[in-house]
Amino acid sequence: MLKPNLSLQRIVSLPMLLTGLLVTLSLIHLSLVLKGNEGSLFGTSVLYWAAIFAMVWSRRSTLKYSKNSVLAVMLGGSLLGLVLLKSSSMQGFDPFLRISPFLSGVGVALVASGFRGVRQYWRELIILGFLIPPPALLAEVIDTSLVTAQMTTLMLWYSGFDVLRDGVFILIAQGGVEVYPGCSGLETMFQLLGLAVLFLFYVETPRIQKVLLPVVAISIAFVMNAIRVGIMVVLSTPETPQAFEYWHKGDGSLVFSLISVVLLGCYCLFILREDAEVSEENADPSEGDETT
Amino acid sequence: MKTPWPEKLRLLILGILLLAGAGVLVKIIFTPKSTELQAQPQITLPNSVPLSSGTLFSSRSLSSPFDQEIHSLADQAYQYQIVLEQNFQLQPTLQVHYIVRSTGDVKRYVKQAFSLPSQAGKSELKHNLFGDYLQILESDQLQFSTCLDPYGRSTVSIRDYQGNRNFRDIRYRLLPWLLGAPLKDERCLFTTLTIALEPKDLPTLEPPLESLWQDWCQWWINNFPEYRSQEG
Repeated sequence: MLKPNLSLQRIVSLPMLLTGLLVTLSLIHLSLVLKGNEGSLFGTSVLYWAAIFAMVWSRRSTLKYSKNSVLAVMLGGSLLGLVLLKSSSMQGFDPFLRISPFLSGVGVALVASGFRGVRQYWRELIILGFLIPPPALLAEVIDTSLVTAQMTTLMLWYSGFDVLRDGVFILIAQGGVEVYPGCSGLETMFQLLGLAVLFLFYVETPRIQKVLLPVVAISIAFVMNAIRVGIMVVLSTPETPQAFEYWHKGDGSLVFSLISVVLLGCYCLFILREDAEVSEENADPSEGDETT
Repeated sequence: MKTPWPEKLRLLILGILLLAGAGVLVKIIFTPKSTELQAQPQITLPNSVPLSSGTLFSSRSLSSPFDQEIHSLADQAYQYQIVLEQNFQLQPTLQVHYIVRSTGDVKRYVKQAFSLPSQAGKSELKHNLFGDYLQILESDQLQFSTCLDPYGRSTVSIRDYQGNRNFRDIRYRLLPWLLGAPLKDERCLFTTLTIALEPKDLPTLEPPLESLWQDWCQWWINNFPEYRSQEG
């Protein structure tokens, strides 16, 4: 007679526990970001977590689990314990929410695959690492405000405006703006760079695109921000303060982020189509050979 | 086949973490947002501060003398009496202001609390057991002032105050931070001693005043107000 095999080890398997833990950690992170009213971080986090689950799922049959790395399990477990302890006491936004996904990823990888096996998750960890740098710190480290001011002045000049620039100050007859490091579009550039890296990890692309796509992503974000600053310069007259604020901090600023993401999406679509066409062209001659 | 013990340990740790994670998630979902929590609590400073080197004469609460950028939750003034030889008496006034989210800028606090111009009188940085304090000698007034932190240190400059927060407190703060407190405890008791005196009397009167000042600082370090989560 056949006996049902319902031993604990069959019900509670290692991949199942690891998946359950990673899902729980991601939900904890997303709930806290949502509570902290960090809309931009929330959107990016949802996308990155989803990408990580998809990437791990697609490689689930080839992932290697370690068997005897007690030290790695203890270290990974401690990291995850620390993330849970800190998360349990957070009430609003805390800078820890930027690093906790990366710590969670490292912790789960250590528990699953030991010290040597962590390397097989390098793509996932890099993606989670894109959440770490806070926009304010980025603006402190890399100041692109002067280049943004130069680009905006150039655009306005070619659009027929009488425009002058003095350092980061852009002046027209009725008004002018100062381009702060925070307004230089660095956050959008970093966001688009993250998306480009995500695409490169997820989709097999020609070697040239591995270099070109990040450059295109940064360029799109830079040019779109320069256009936004140009609109703000034109609206910097005393009669249009509300319109200025709309493009500065209101929904207008988000519209440009959206357009940037859509443009990058279009470029990625172009890469996929090019790749498909090249594959078809390569496939055709071989079919011909077979028939002859 | 028998499961080896490292594998059992791993499954056990993962099981515990998964259960703990589920608990944390439920807690986060059902805990209201921080903005929905109670408003700032009322802090009261004691009416009596007993010191061995002086006798408390009177005490009264003050309204905050600072602008909106300096968050003072409680302000109190105390008048003491020091009896010297031949029944000569000194009556210094000591004030304490409980400041949260402090920058440690004592000169700015002095300027606002006493409406003094920024370079008033002759100021000198002095030291005692707890750290630095500022002595300002004007034409007919002597003043000591400092910022006492929750870890018993006394500073005057922003640089020293922030240095203590960033480098020295960290070892005491990591565990509270994990449990929900801010990484930096930026509370400060801004305190002053003020007395009217002639500059020529300073060499004679300074030692008893410094003794009272030291006792005063010691008392507040020992009785620093407890941290409350809503103050941050």
